Amino acid sequence: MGITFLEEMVSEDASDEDIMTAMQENELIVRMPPIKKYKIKAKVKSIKKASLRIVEPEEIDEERISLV
Amino acid sequence: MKSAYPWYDVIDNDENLMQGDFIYECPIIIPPPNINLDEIDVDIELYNVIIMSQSCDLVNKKIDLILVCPVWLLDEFSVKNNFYKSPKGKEALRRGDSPGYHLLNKSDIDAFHTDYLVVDFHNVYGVHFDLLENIARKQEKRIRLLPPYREHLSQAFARFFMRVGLPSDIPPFK
Repeated sequence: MGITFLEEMVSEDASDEDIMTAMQENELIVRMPPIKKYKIKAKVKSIKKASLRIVEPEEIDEERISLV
Repeated sequence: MKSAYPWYDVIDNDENLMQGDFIYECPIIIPPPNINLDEIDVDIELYNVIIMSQSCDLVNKKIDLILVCPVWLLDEFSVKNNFYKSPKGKEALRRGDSPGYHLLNKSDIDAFHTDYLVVDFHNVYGVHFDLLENIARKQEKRIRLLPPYREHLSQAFARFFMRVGLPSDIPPFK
């Protein structure tokens, strides 16, 4: 409904405000096809539960903290 | 009107991956609905993409999967939708009134001539670091979006992601 509504509004030369309101209420999504598409055969080697990978934060610069 | 800051740079393929790098014909693996220990058919779709992950995460290899979003020429994009074909639709993109899309400038620098580009935030893909790095190495050169436009792209993505739909309880002031 949203897209039709918006296109009608454009053709009727609606105000910017009306169009922006309509866009916010009915978000317009354009479905773009991929550039190319093909199939491959894949062999599933294993199915296992993922293990946690923790990323440690950068070292805290004590000098900078004391300045703040 | 010429911009005060250049939008793009052409970089060599041996440089580290960074936010704002363009990767052409990036293969996106579409997982099948069911996965068993067997041979399966997998769809591969190719997209031109831009890297959305933060550069600091990439340089320090803190992530295994890099977030990318598809990029389209504005002309291709507007062919698919009449609203964006109209000057009002293009103006909405330029002003950032379409939160799911982000407009990038055209370019006439050597080795990178392009019309306006649209980044699609609705479709975000995770591509393995090693795969993306290999693809980038195979491209002789690549294009990089430069600051402050790179930060603007990142902010627009954040704005799209954090948006909240609210009821319009307060009527508009006329």
